[in-house]
Amino acid sequence: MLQPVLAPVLSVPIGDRWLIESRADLREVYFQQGPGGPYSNEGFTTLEYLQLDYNANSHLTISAGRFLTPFNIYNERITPIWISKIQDAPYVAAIGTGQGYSDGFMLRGNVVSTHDFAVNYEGYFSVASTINKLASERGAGGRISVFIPHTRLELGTSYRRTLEGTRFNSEGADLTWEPYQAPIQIRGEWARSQSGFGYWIQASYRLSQIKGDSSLLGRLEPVFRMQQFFRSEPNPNDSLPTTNAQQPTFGMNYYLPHEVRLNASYGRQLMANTTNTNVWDFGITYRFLFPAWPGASR
Amino acid sequence: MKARWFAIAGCCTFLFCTLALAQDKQNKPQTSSSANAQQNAPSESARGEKLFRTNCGRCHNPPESISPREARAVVRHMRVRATLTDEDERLILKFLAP
Repeated sequence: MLQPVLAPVLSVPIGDRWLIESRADLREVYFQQGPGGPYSNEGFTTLEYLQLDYNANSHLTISAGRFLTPFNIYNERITPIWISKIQDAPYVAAIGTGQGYSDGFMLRGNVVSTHDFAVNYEGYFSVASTINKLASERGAGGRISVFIPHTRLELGTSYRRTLEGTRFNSEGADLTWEPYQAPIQIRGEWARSQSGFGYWIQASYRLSQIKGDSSLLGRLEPVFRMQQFFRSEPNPNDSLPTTNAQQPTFGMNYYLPHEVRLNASYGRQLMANTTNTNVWDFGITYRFLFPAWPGASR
Repeated sequence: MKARWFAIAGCCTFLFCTLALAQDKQNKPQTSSSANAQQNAPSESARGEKLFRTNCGRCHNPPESISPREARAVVRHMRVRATLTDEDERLILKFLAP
Protein backbone atom coordinates (compact mmCIF):
# COMPACT_ATOMS: atom_id res chain seq x y z
CA MET A 1 0.00 0.00 0.00
CA LEU A 2 1.31 3.43 -0.94
CA GLN A 3 -0.05 6.60 0.70
CA PRO A 4 1.12 10.06 -0.39
CA VAL A 5 -0.12 12.50 2.27
CA LEU A 6 -0.32 16.26 2.33
CA ALA A 7 -1.04 17.72 5.79
CA PRO A 8 -1.31 21.52 5.52
CA VAL A 9 -1.43 23.52 8.75
CA LEU A 10 -2.84 27.05 8.68
CA SER A 11 -2.13 29.55 11.45
CA VAL A 12 -3.59 33.06 11.21
CA PRO A 13 -2.92 35.34 14.21
CA ILE A 14 -5.36 38.25 14.47
CA GLY A 15 -4.26 41.04 16.76
CA ASP A 16 -2.62 40.11 20.05
CA ARG A 17 -5.21 37.67 21.33
CA TRP A 18 -6.92 35.82 18.49
CA LEU A 19 -5.85 32.93 16.32
CA ILE A 20 -7.50 30.91 13.57
CA GLU A 21 -5.78 27.57 13.06
CA SER A 22 -6.51 24.56 10.94
CA ARG A 23 -5.02 21.28 9.78
CA ALA A 24 -6.21 18.94 7.06
CA ASP A 25 -5.11 15.52 5.89
CA LEU A 26 -5.26 14.88 2.16
CA ARG A 27 -4.20 11.39 1.15
CA GLU A 28 -4.43 9.07 -1.80
CA VAL A 29 -4.27 5.37 -1.01
CA TYR A 30 -2.96 2.97 -3.67
CA PHE A 31 -3.69 -0.66 -2.82
CA GLN A 32 -3.76 -4.08 -4.45
CA GLN A 33 -7.14 -5.77 -4.75
CA GLY A 34 -6.20 -9.17 -3.35
CA PRO A 35 -2.97 -11.13 -3.93
CA GLY A 36 -1.92 -10.78 -7.57
CA GLY A 37 -4.89 -8.53 -8.33
CA PRO A 38 -4.91 -5.13 -10.03
CA TYR A 39 -3.98 -1.93 -8.19
CA SER A 40 -6.60 0.64 -7.33
CA ASN A 41 -6.61 3.99 -5.60
CA GLU A 42 -8.92 6.07 -3.46
CA GLY A 43 -8.61 9.58 -2.08
CA PHE A 44 -9.48 10.72 1.45
CA THR A 45 -9.83 14.26 2.77
CA THR A 46 -10.08 14.94 6.50
CA LEU A 47 -10.47 18.27 8.21
CA GLU A 48 -8.68 17.55 11.49
CA TYR A 49 -9.21 20.90 13.13
CA LEU A 50 -10.51 24.34 12.28
CA GLN A 51 -10.74 26.41 15.42
CA LEU A 52 -10.87 29.98 16.63
CA ASP A 53 -8.75 30.59 19.73
CA TYR A 54 -8.95 33.51 22.12
CA ASN A 55 -6.02 33.89 24.51
CA ALA A 56 -7.90 35.49 27.40
CA ASN A 57 -4.82 35.59 29.64
CA SER A 58 -1.75 33.54 30.60
CA HIS A 59 -3.95 30.91 32.20
CA LEU A 60 -6.90 30.57 29.82
CA THR A 61 -7.43 30.04 26.11
CA ILE A 62 -10.98 29.62 24.81
CA SER A 63 -11.35 27.63 21.58
CA ALA A 64 -14.43 27.04 19.46
CA GLY A 65 -14.96 25.04 16.30
CA ARG A 66 -13.53 21.68 15.36
CA PHE A 67 -10.56 20.52 17.42
CA LEU A 68 -8.51 17.44 18.24
CA THR A 69 -10.06 15.73 21.25
CA PRO A 70 -7.68 16.22 24.19
CA PHE A 71 -7.41 12.73 25.67
CA ASN A 72 -3.95 11.53 26.72
CA ILE A 73 -1.11 12.77 24.48
CA TYR A 74 -1.22 10.86 21.21
CA ASN A 75 -4.20 12.51 19.52
CA GLU A 76 -3.20 16.12 20.11
CA ARG A 77 0.59 15.96 20.01
CA ILE A 78 1.84 12.99 18.08
CA THR A 79 -0.55 12.68 15.12
CA PRO A 80 1.32 15.21 12.91
CA ILE A 81 3.25 13.09 10.40
CA TRP A 82 6.41 15.19 10.90
CA ILE A 83 6.35 14.47 14.64
CA SER A 84 5.32 10.81 14.99
CA LYS A 85 8.35 8.57 15.17
CA ILE A 86 6.38 5.47 14.16
CA GLN A 87 3.73 6.18 11.56
CA ASP A 88 1.13 3.66 12.76
CA ALA A 89 -1.10 4.85 15.59
CA PRO A 90 -1.11 2.73 18.76
CA TYR A 91 -4.21 0.62 19.46
CA VAL A 92 -5.41 2.67 22.42
CA ALA A 93 -5.29 5.95 20.47
CA ALA A 94 -8.92 5.15 19.57
CA ILE A 95 -10.01 5.17 23.25
CA GLY A 96 -11.49 8.37 24.66
CA THR A 97 -11.13 10.53 21.58
CA GLY A 98 -14.56 10.00 20.00
CA GLN A 99 -13.61 9.79 16.37
CA GLY A 100 -10.45 11.77 17.09
CA TYR A 101 -12.15 15.11 16.51
CA SER A 102 -14.69 17.16 18.45
CA ASP A 103 -17.03 19.95 17.36
CA GLY A 104 -17.80 22.36 20.19
CA PHE A 105 -15.77 24.44 22.57
CA MET A 106 -12.71 23.92 24.73
CA LEU A 107 -11.03 25.73 27.62
CA ARG A 108 -7.32 25.16 28.13
CA GLY A 109 -4.32 26.70 29.79
CA ASN A 110 -2.30 26.38 32.94
CA VAL A 111 -3.54 26.64 36.50
CA VAL A 112 -0.08 27.54 37.69
CA SER A 113 3.24 27.85 35.90
CA THR A 114 6.49 28.38 37.83
CA HIS A 115 10.14 27.53 37.21
CA ASP A 116 9.69 24.32 39.18
CA PHE A 117 6.41 22.95 37.89
CA ALA A 118 3.32 23.68 35.83
CA VAL A 119 -0.20 22.33 36.08
CA ASN A 120 -1.99 22.36 32.74
CA TYR A 121 -5.61 21.59 31.93
CA GLU A 122 -7.95 21.07 28.99
CA GLY A 123 -11.74 20.72 29.23
CA TYR A 124 -14.24 20.49 26.38
CA PHE A 125 -17.78 19.77 25.29
CA SER A 126 -18.52 18.30 21.87
CA VAL A 127 -21.84 18.10 20.05
CA ALA A 128 -22.97 15.20 17.85
CA SER A 129 -22.46 15.93 14.19
CA THR A 130 -23.04 13.84 11.07
CA ILE A 131 -22.11 16.61 8.63
CA ASN A 132 -19.80 15.34 5.93
CA LYS A 133 -16.13 16.01 6.89
CA LEU A 134 -17.26 17.42 10.25
CA ALA A 135 -18.49 14.28 12.01
CA SER A 136 -18.10 14.10 15.78
CA GLU A 137 -19.64 12.40 18.80
CA ARG A 138 -21.46 14.10 21.65
CA GLY A 139 -19.26 14.00 24.72
CA ALA A 140 -17.41 15.93 27.35
CA GLY A 141 -14.10 15.46 29.09
CA GLY A 142 -10.72 16.83 29.81
CA ARG A 143 -7.15 16.27 30.79
CA ILE A 144 -5.01 17.58 33.62
CA SER A 145 -1.25 17.24 33.75
CA VAL A 146 1.75 18.18 35.85
CA PHE A 147 4.95 19.18 34.06
CA ILE A 148 8.34 19.51 35.75
CA PRO A 149 10.56 21.67 33.48
CA HIS A 150 13.89 20.78 35.18
CA THR A 151 13.53 17.15 34.22
CA ARG A 152 11.06 17.55 31.33
CA LEU A 153 8.84 14.99 32.99
CA GLU A 154 5.09 15.21 32.45
CA LEU A 155 2.35 13.10 33.97
CA GLY A 156 -1.24 13.49 32.84
CA THR A 157 -4.64 11.96 33.35
CA SER A 158 -7.68 12.14 31.08
CA TYR A 159 -11.38 11.49 31.30
CA ARG A 160 -14.21 11.46 28.78
CA ARG A 161 -17.92 10.80 29.07
CA THR A 162 -19.52 9.79 25.77
CA LEU A 163 -23.05 11.21 25.74
CA GLU A 164 -24.71 9.54 22.79
CA GLY A 165 -25.99 6.00 22.25
CA THR A 166 -24.81 3.86 25.13
CA ARG A 167 -23.20 6.33 27.51
CA PHE A 168 -19.87 5.28 28.91
CA ASN A 169 -16.70 6.61 30.49
CA SER A 170 -13.14 6.45 29.23
CA GLU A 171 -10.13 7.03 31.44
CA GLY A 172 -6.49 7.45 30.58
CA ALA A 173 -3.06 8.28 31.96
CA ASP A 174 0.04 9.38 30.12
CA LEU A 175 3.71 9.97 30.75
CA THR A 176 6.43 11.76 28.81
CA TRP A 177 10.06 12.18 29.80
CA GLU A 178 12.76 13.88 27.78
CA PRO A 179 15.83 14.30 30.04
CA TYR A 180 18.18 17.18 29.20
CA GLN A 181 21.22 14.99 29.74
CA ALA A 182 20.61 12.82 26.69
CA PRO A 183 18.47 12.86 23.52
CA ILE A 184 16.17 10.18 24.85
CA GLN A 185 12.43 10.39 24.66
CA ILE A 186 10.17 8.12 26.65
CA ARG A 187 6.44 8.30 26.06
CA GLY A 188 3.57 6.13 27.11
CA GLU A 189 -0.16 5.96 27.61
CA TRP A 190 -2.65 3.76 29.35
CA ALA A 191 -6.35 3.94 28.46
CA ARG A 192 -9.54 2.12 29.39
CA SER A 193 -13.13 2.14 28.16
CA GLN A 194 -16.01 -0.36 28.11
CA SER A 195 -14.39 -2.06 25.07
CA GLY A 196 -11.20 -2.90 26.92
CA PHE A 197 -7.94 -1.46 28.08
CA GLY A 198 -4.38 -1.23 26.89
CA TYR A 199 -1.15 0.69 26.87
CA TRP A 200 1.78 1.68 24.71
CA ILE A 201 5.25 2.73 25.72
CA GLN A 202 7.84 4.10 23.33
CA ALA A 203 11.51 4.91 23.69
CA SER A 204 13.69 6.68 21.16
CA TYR A 205 17.33 7.72 21.25
CA ARG A 206 18.92 10.07 18.74
CA LEU A 207 22.58 9.11 18.33
CA SER A 208 23.66 12.77 18.29
CA GLN A 209 25.92 12.30 21.32
CA ILE A 210 28.42 10.37 19.26
CA LYS A 211 29.66 13.01 16.79
CA GLY A 212 26.98 15.71 16.89
CA ASP A 213 23.53 15.77 15.39
CA SER A 214 24.81 16.60 11.89
CA SER A 215 27.14 13.61 11.65
CA LEU A 216 26.33 10.55 9.62
CA LEU A 217 25.57 8.54 12.74
CA GLY A 218 24.15 11.44 14.73
CA ARG A 219 21.24 11.77 12.33
CA LEU A 220 20.04 8.29 13.20
CA GLU A 221 17.34 7.61 15.77
CA PRO A 222 16.31 4.08 16.76
CA VAL A 223 12.82 3.74 18.22
CA PHE A 224 11.09 0.93 20.06
CA ARG A 225 7.42 0.73 20.93
CA MET A 226 5.56 -1.95 22.81
CA GLN A 227 1.78 -1.99 22.96
CA GLN A 228 -0.95 -4.29 24.19
CA PHE A 229 -4.73 -4.22 24.15
CA PHE A 230 -7.07 -6.44 26.15
CA ARG A 231 -10.62 -6.71 24.81
CA SER A 232 -13.44 -6.73 27.40
CA GLU A 233 -16.50 -6.95 25.19
CA PRO A 234 -17.12 -6.97 21.44
CA ASN A 235 -18.06 -3.67 19.85
CA PRO A 236 -18.16 -3.48 16.04
CA ASN A 237 -18.30 0.34 16.15
CA ASP A 238 -14.96 1.00 17.81
CA SER A 239 -11.65 1.07 15.94
CA LEU A 240 -9.92 -1.21 18.43
CA PRO A 241 -8.63 -4.74 17.73
CA THR A 242 -11.43 -7.32 17.81
CA THR A 243 -9.46 -9.60 20.18
CA ASN A 244 -6.56 -9.28 22.60
CA ALA A 245 -3.57 -7.96 20.69
CA GLN A 246 0.03 -7.02 21.24
CA GLN A 247 2.67 -5.57 19.01
CA PRO A 248 6.35 -4.83 19.51
CA THR A 249 7.65 -2.39 16.87
CA PHE A 250 11.23 -1.45 16.03
CA GLY A 251 11.78 1.71 14.03
CA MET A 252 14.63 3.75 12.62
CA ASN A 253 14.45 7.44 11.74
CA TYR A 254 17.07 9.34 9.79
CA TYR A 255 17.06 13.14 9.89
CA LEU A 256 18.35 14.61 6.64
CA PRO A 257 19.07 18.34 6.23
CA HIS A 258 16.28 20.74 5.22
CA GLU A 259 13.59 19.16 7.38
CA VAL A 260 13.52 15.86 5.50
CA ARG A 261 13.17 12.69 7.52
CA LEU A 262 13.27 9.06 6.46
CA ASN A 263 11.60 6.48 8.63
CA ALA A 264 11.20 2.75 8.62
CA SER A 265 9.68 0.34 11.09
CA TYR A 266 8.92 -3.31 11.57
CA GLY A 267 6.30 -4.64 13.92
CA ARG A 268 4.93 -8.07 14.68
CA GLN A 269 1.20 -8.04 15.37
CA LEU A 270 0.25 -10.88 17.68
CA MET A 271 -3.51 -11.33 17.96
CA ALA A 272 -5.40 -13.97 19.90
CA ASN A 273 -7.29 -16.49 17.72
CA THR A 274 -6.04 -15.07 14.41
CA THR A 275 -2.91 -15.29 12.30
CA ASN A 276 0.01 -13.18 13.42
CA THR A 277 1.21 -10.66 10.88
CA ASN A 278 4.28 -8.59 10.08
CA VAL A 279 3.78 -4.83 9.78
CA TRP A 280 6.35 -2.98 7.70
CA ASP A 281 6.34 0.78 7.16
CA PHE A 282 8.64 2.97 5.10
CA GLY A 283 8.14 6.70 4.86
CA ILE A 284 9.62 10.05 4.01
CA THR A 285 8.40 13.33 5.44
CA TYR A 286 9.24 16.87 4.41
CA ARG A 287 8.19 19.86 6.51
CA PHE A 288 8.19 23.32 5.00
CA LEU A 289 6.86 26.70 5.92
CA PHE A 290 5.75 29.71 3.88
CA PRO A 291 3.63 32.83 4.41
CA ALA A 292 0.08 32.38 3.11
CA TRP A 293 -0.02 35.89 1.69
CA PRO A 294 2.39 38.79 1.24
CA GLY A 295 2.70 41.42 3.93
CA ALA A 296 5.04 43.51 6.00
CA SER A 297 8.17 41.79 7.30
CA ARG A 298 7.16 42.46 10.91
CA MET B 1 2.71 -13.88 27.98
CA LYS B 2 1.69 -10.48 29.36
CA ALA B 3 4.55 -10.45 31.86
CA ARG B 4 7.04 -11.40 29.16
CA TRP B 5 6.15 -8.40 27.00
CA PHE B 6 6.24 -6.10 30.02
CA ALA B 7 9.73 -7.42 30.76
CA ILE B 8 10.91 -6.90 27.15
CA ALA B 9 9.53 -3.35 27.08
CA GLY B 10 11.14 -2.58 30.45
CA CYS B 11 14.53 -3.99 29.45
CA CYS B 12 14.62 -2.04 26.17
CA THR B 13 13.71 1.20 27.93
CA PHE B 14 16.33 0.60 30.62
CA LEU B 15 18.97 -0.15 27.97
CA PHE B 16 18.16 3.07 26.09
CA CYS B 17 18.48 5.17 29.25
CA THR B 18 21.69 3.52 30.44
CA LEU B 19 23.47 3.89 27.10
CA ALA B 20 22.43 7.48 26.62
CA LEU B 21 23.22 8.65 30.13
CA ALA B 22 26.60 6.89 30.05
CA GLN B 23 27.39 8.69 26.79
CA ASP B 24 26.38 12.01 28.36
CA LYS B 25 28.88 11.58 31.19
CA GLN B 26 31.70 11.33 28.64
CA ASN B 27 30.57 14.52 26.92
CA LYS B 28 29.89 16.54 30.06
CA PRO B 29 33.13 18.61 30.31
CA GLN B 30 32.55 20.01 26.82
CA THR B 31 28.93 21.01 27.40
CA SER B 32 29.01 22.32 30.97
CA SER B 33 31.19 25.38 30.23
CA SER B 34 28.85 26.73 27.59
CA ALA B 35 25.85 26.00 29.79
CA ASN B 36 27.45 27.92 32.68
CA ALA B 37 28.19 30.89 30.43
CA GLN B 38 24.53 31.05 29.43
CA GLN B 39 23.38 30.81 33.03
CA ASN B 40 25.60 33.74 34.02
CA ALA B 41 24.13 36.13 31.49
CA PRO B 42 20.88 34.82 30.10
CA SER B 43 19.65 37.20 27.43
CA GLU B 44 15.99 37.18 26.46
CA SER B 45 16.90 35.18 23.37
CA ALA B 46 18.75 32.60 25.50
CA ARG B 47 15.81 32.39 27.86
CA GLY B 48 13.55 31.96 24.85
CA GLU B 49 15.77 29.18 23.54
CA LYS B 50 15.58 27.41 26.89
CA LEU B 51 11.81 27.76 26.90
CA PHE B 52 11.66 26.42 23.36
CA ARG B 53 13.70 23.38 24.39
CA THR B 54 11.57 22.86 27.47
CA ASN B 55 8.21 23.10 25.72
CA CYS B 56 8.17 23.00 21.90
CA GLY B 57 11.43 21.04 21.56
CA ARG B 58 9.93 18.07 23.35
CA CYS B 59 8.14 17.16 20.11
CA HIS B 60 10.03 18.82 17.26
CA ASN B 61 13.09 20.86 16.29
CA PRO B 62 12.90 24.59 15.53
CA PRO B 63 12.36 25.42 11.85
CA GLU B 64 15.68 25.78 9.97
CA SER B 65 14.84 29.25 8.69
CA ILE B 66 11.93 31.41 9.65
CA SER B 67 10.99 35.05 9.03
CA PRO B 68 9.64 37.27 11.83
CA ARG B 69 6.14 37.13 10.29
CA GLU B 70 6.20 33.35 10.14
CA ALA B 71 7.61 33.18 13.67
CA ARG B 72 4.70 35.22 15.03
CA ALA B 73 2.16 32.84 13.47
CA VAL B 74 4.07 29.73 14.57
CA VAL B 75 4.53 30.87 18.18
CA ARG B 76 0.88 31.86 18.54
CA HIS B 77 -0.03 28.37 17.30
CA MET B 78 2.40 26.81 19.81
CA ARG B 79 1.04 28.95 22.60
CA VAL B 80 -2.32 27.19 22.28
CA ARG B 81 -0.83 23.72 21.74
CA ALA B 82 1.69 23.88 24.60
CA THR B 83 -0.38 26.09 26.97
CA LEU B 84 2.32 28.77 27.09
CA THR B 85 1.98 31.95 29.11
CA ASP B 86 2.16 35.51 27.67
CA GLU B 87 5.79 35.77 28.85
CA ASP B 88 6.74 32.39 27.37
CA GLU B 89 5.26 33.43 24.02
CA ARG B 90 7.21 36.71 24.03
CA LEU B 91 10.55 35.07 24.92
CA ILE B 92 10.22 32.23 22.41
CA LEU B 93 9.45 34.82 19.74
CA LYS B 94 12.68 36.63 20.74
CA PHE B 95 14.57 33.37 20.21
CA LEU B 96 13.01 32.49 16.84
CA ALA B 97 13.01 36.05 15.44
CA PRO B 98 15.50 38.15 17.47
